[in-house]
Amino acid sequence: MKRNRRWRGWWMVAVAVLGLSVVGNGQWADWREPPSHQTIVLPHGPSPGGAVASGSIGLMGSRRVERPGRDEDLWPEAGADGRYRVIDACRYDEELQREHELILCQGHRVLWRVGEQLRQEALDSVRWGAVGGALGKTVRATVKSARQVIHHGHNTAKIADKPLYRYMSRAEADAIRETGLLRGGRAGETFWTDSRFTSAARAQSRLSLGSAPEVRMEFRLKNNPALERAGTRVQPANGGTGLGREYSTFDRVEVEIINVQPFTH
Amino acid sequence: MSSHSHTDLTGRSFAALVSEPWDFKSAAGDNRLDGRIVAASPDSAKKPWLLCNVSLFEAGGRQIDRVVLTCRYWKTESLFDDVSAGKRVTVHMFYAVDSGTVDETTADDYLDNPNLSRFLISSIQLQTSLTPGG
Repeated sequence: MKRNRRWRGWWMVAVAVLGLSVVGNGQWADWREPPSHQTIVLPHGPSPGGAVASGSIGLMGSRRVERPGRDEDLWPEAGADGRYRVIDACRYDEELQREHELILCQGHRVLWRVGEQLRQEALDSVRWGAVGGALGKTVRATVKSARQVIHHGHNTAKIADKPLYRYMSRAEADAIRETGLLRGGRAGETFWTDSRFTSAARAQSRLSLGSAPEVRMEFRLKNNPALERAGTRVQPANGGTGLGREYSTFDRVEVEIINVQPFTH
Repeated sequence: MSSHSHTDLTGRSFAALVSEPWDFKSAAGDNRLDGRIVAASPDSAKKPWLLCNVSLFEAGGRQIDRVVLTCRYWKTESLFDDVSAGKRVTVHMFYAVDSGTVDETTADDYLDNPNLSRFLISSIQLQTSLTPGG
């Protein structure tokens, strides 16, 4: 019950306000008298809004107004939400129109500034992106080089860990004992392998050697030579099978001899 | 297919460091050979080779001054491209142990034939300027 009374009270207030507003500006008074001669008044050209606007103007009815005053119903009511009121107001009032244009102009300036700022930010972003890309490339190259160094070091370390062999003449084995260097430290590329062959013929065939070796020397690397090859397969030569794995360097190779085994066959 | 013409290499001089045998000697010094390319293999050859005149050296009681070069490594080097590019290339240098002559027509016969040839293992690199004469 209390709720019904409260709603009724609200309705009464709403009706009263509506009534005052209608009576106050008088616009709604005309619809009570159906117009006999509707006249469309277009003070400054056609009204925007099409049928809605012209219909609202036409409510002038029989009281023809050639030049409505400022205080009269100059502005069309437009739709129920009054969407056209501002536009029409600018159209009919030069001062308002100037203000409206000024506002638009200011708005355009603001928009232009915002656009410029966005454009600048975009350019900055592109510039920094390019710098970042170059920087990233440099960093990547550095990391790659570092990785290669580590990889090389790792390879050398791996080689140093495993048993290594060189197949040779007795004379070379003597030179290595004297100097501590493979091939007696002579100029040229020095080869060795991680494959252990038990016969001279097999070693010559797999490693494509120019002559049959007399001994197999097992050794450990004492220095860190720059490798030209690391496990590269050799071509067959002079009827051999080839494809033995070979390591090589142009550096001097310091070794610790583990053992020297002469071939008996 | 090589991107370089075989004939580009003809007449070019090179220096070689001989690795095997370990105590090699020639007229050019210990473990050294100087050489000049006189011919390159045709497309019909069994494998790419370069026929070269080299510093005199002795092997098996014979004086040797001509060798045929082929790559030492399996599928990792292109003989013509790498030599033309000035890279150091590891090669087998085949030389005749019989009384025959190694030339353009017989070079294929001396490759990989233990009855006719032996070989050195060396690395060669082209010299920067052309050697005059032939």
